Amino acid sequence: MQRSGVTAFDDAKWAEIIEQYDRICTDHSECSERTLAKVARISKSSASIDIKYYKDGPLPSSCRQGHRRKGVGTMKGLGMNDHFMIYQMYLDNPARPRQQYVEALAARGINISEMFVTRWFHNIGPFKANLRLTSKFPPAKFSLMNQQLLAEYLQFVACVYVRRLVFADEKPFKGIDICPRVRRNPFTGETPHLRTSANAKNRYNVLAMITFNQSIRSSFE
Amino acid sequence: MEETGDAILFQLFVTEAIAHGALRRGDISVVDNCTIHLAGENEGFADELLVRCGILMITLPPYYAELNPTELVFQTLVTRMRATRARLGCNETDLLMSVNSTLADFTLQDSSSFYSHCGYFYTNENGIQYN
Repeated sequence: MQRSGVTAFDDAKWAEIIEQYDRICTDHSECSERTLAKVARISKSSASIDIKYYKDGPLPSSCRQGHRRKGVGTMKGLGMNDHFMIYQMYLDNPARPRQQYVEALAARGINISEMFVTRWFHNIGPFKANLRLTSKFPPAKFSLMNQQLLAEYLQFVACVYVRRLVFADEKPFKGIDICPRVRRNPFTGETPHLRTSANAKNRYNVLAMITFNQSIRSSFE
Repeated sequence: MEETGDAILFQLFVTEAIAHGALRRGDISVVDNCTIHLAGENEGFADELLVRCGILMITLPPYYAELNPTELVFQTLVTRMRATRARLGCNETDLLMSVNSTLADFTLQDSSSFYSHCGYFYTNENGIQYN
């Protein structure tokens, strides 16, 4: 259970709150909403409803924090059709800018901000739907011919002693690829210079081989 | 190597690897489909390698770089080099020296984990590895 933006208390925390509540009730014959709000660090209105439920017995989990959750966009007057429209717009174009959602809802008479769209995508489902980079792959990877080659390769690998497989590859590096990032000076704003050789902009090719041969651990030029 | 890779450089590299014992008779060398490996000037290189040294050279299926543990070597290499440079300071000028020293730090455990990550091994609940 979760109130929007607030993490619900766990059972241990609620046991502590109830214990505090009992103690205050014993000491002062009653526990005011204000006192409970202070002890439990919840709002006064939440405390009043919790007291109401608690007076009838142990606080049921369904009545704890989150039971009054209204849902995303309720305050803005979004109905199910509006939610469905936003989701449909997302399905049509996952890269759609927020402004288009704002305009589409404005055409339906609902004024929302771009920030609201961000919050909608954060809270509408179990996953925070941020903008993120997609994974890219060439379509030829899954072509029939390539799948056959893959199957042949896997069949071959399954028949040989894997420790005799020696993989080799090459990778172009630039000096800039392996230089660490530096912090700028917080007081002067200057970024420290990185002293490198004159050919740091040149391309280096690192050829590497990976093997299970334990006696080979050195590198050579 | 401070040059762009070509077929001759690859041949030299394989020759060096054989001389250093990284490639031995009976080994199977797996390379990707880059033209410098087995095409162009290196068209008959795989046959020559098999006849002279008893080393079979095969290629990975195209676009399946994830089956090549060497990619993980490069990834780890860059990470370690960055960490080393960040720790030691930014004055390291000799790139080749740092590449060599970082490559020399790779262990058999690293190799095992790279192979395992690419799916060539799997480990059962008792920690025994299988092909």
